[in-house]
Amino acid sequence: MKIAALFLLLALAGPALADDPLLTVEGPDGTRTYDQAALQALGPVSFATSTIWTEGQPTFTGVPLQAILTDAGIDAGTVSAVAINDYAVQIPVDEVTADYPIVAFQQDGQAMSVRDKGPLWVIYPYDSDPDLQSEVIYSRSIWQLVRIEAAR
Amino acid sequence: MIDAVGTDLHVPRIARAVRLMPAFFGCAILALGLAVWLLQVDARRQIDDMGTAATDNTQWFLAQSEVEVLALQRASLLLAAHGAGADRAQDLRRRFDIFYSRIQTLQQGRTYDRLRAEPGMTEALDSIQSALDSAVPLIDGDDAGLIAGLPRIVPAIDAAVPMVRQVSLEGVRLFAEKSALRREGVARALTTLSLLVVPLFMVLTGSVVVLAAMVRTAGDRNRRIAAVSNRLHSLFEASIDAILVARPDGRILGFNAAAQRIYGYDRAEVVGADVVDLLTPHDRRAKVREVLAGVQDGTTRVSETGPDILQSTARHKSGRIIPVELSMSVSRGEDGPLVVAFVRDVSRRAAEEAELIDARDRAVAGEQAKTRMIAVMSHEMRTPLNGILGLLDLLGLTELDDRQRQYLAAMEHSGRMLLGHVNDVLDTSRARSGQLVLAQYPVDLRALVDSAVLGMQEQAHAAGNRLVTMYSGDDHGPVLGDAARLEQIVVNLVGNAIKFTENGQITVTVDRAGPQGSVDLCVTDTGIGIPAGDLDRIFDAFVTLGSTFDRKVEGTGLGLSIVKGLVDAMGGQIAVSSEPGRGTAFRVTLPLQVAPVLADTAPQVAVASDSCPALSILMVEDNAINRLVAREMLRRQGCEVTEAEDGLAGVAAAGQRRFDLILMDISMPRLNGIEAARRIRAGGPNRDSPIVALTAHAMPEDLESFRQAGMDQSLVKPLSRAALTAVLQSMRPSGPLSEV
Repeated sequence: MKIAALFLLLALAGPALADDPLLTVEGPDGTRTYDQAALQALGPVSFATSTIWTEGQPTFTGVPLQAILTDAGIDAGTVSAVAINDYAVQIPVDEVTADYPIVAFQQDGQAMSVRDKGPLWVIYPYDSDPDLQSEVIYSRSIWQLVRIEAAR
Repeated sequence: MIDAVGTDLHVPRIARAVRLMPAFFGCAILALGLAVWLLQVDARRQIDDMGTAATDNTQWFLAQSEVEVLALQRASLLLAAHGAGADRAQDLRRRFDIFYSRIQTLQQGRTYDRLRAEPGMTEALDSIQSALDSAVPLIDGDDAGLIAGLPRIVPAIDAAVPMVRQVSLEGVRLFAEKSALRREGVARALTTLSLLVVPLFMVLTGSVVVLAAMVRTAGDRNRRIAAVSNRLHSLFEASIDAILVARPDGRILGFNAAAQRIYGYDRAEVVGADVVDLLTPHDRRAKVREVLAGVQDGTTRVSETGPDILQSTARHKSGRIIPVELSMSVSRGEDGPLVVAFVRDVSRRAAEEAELIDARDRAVAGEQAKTRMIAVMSHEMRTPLNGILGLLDLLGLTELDDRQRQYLAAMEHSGRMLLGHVNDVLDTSRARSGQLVLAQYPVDLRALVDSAVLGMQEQAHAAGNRLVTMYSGDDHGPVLGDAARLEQIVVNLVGNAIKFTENGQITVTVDRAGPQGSVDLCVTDTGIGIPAGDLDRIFDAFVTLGSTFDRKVEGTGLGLSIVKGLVDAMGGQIAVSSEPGRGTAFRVTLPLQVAPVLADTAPQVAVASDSCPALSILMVEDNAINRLVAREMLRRQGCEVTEAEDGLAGVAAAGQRRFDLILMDISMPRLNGIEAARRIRAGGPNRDSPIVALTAHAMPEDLESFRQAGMDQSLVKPLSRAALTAVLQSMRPSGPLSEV
């Protein structure tokens, strides 16, 4: 009952419009912005994993972070991922693999609202490797992501 | 022997315990290692749990939730105070969404399962949730609606603040507790681990100690084995006998110094080569192969009591065949059996043995030649000598003047001495060769000794000696024995005493005081005596001690040797004691059984009378001289004598008429005496006439065959008048034909 109400509310809150900029990346070549279509163009991938913040084992769909960094011309150093409430976390670029983390924009095929930690959420496949169940990885799993800055 | 040199490798009990230690320590280490491993896995897991925080930064999240609710409160108050504009409505919406997502996480995240289980927490969260849910339509509506709804939204947010605070505090307390529990678990695991390390360390230390002990034990054993090995090597090399060690396939493994000497090969030439091809003579190869094969199969057994010594041959490098003695043993090791052969070169001994055998053969041949020579002497010398003596006897009965009678006496003396020497030699030879045959007739010992001593009185007087006889002990009557041999013993001993005594006394003692059936005969003189050093050899043949003194001693030196031989043959003993200058005593002890009492012992006693019946006698004798002598003797007795020169003639004469007595020689040409006697007994006028055999030597078995041929008595040649008279007299009283 409660969950049904929740989905109703989510539907009412409505996803952001397709052409709204979702992510800003400040790379060495200047600032680039990505809307839903731009992210889709980078080759989204999907995997299912449980998280410590959610119920069950949802399937997350998104673009590998590495693809975004490569696209933005960032290939070394450390990047800062910044959330909507200005929470920020440091991610070393050489610890970003081709497969994970992803910048997820869909959970179980649905776009994520801010109330549901959307619209972008950095997700690791936590279930696939106990090494990914560490505090460092959990702290890098930033939700409500809006900006990535290459560190100077 | 091996034990003596210290090959005793018996393992003491401690060493056996040490040997079992590795297994014990192995198990202990394994068990402890397993325990440590399990514990460290547990500790690692716990430490990993601390690293893989299943919780994010929980406290920070809870505090941040409080911050977010306050930020939401501030945004709502700002919107209420200043109205729409400057994106204040948008800010409120964003803050609402952020806070909403936090409450969602708290409601759903599994990290917070425990938190939600605490009393009051679900209610607090549900209460916040419902407050937020009730605000959602206003938040999602337009700005005007939102502002209009603020009076409802603000108090709901205000009410949520203390509840968020409450959740946050509860969460901090809970997670702090959980952290403490986890730290305790880690500490406990590490403590257990560290406690287990102590016994592990101890066990490892123990293992090291045991290993050290084992290393020491092994070292000791190695040293002992090396020492034993050295000693065995020394024995191997120092052995006088060749020692060969070979495998059953024949391959030589060991070849000692003595083997190099005996076989002539260097060790290097032999080791690895085949023992059969190299060292075995051709004719023995098959046999040696067979023995080796037997060792391989285990069918050849070496006896428990030690190897047998075999006589065999070996081949020298030069091809020479060496006679050897061989003993073999089999040593069974891990690499299969080994044959160890001890070989001794016995060529020198074999040569010596051959020499000895040759010497013995030559000695035997010499002895046989001597015996033959003596046998020849017996027949070829005694017969003519007897003829001479018989005729001399007869000659004495003819008319002679004094000078002739003197010459005759000298001739007779010389002849009798010569006959005595010949008889002595024959007797010695016979006694030596064990051919002496003793008669067993009743003998009156006292009469015999008296008679013998009487005959020697003259000889004793000639040297100025007194010769006396003494008797002690009871006279149990006649004994069974060989009268002639007994007399010979007395005569020889007395004769010997006379030779070495001058102007002294010679005493003959017959002592029958000893046990029944035993007679002591002692001959004691007061002569020059015998040096102690010569006592041992006086009984040897041809020994005349007198020759070392300035004194002429007659005789062949056979007298005492003959006595010794006779005494031995009779089963008696002879002992001599002497003191030079004082005299000598011979003591003979003879086992002589008392003779059973017989009704008639006449032949022994009736010697005195010369009167004989006139009988008709047939004398069968091939030797003409013997015939002559006997005929003359018989005629002097008044007998009528018919002569026959051999057995056939004798049988023919006996067929002509009856005779009172037939004297029959035994060995004759054409027909011998035994066969002739048998034919006469077979029928004819002399079927019952007494026949007396004449023989040079009467053996007991011969006497038996004479009796079977029908001959009643025998006379030993040469015939003496006394013996002949005794036979003739025996015819008169008892002879059934005496009246003829």
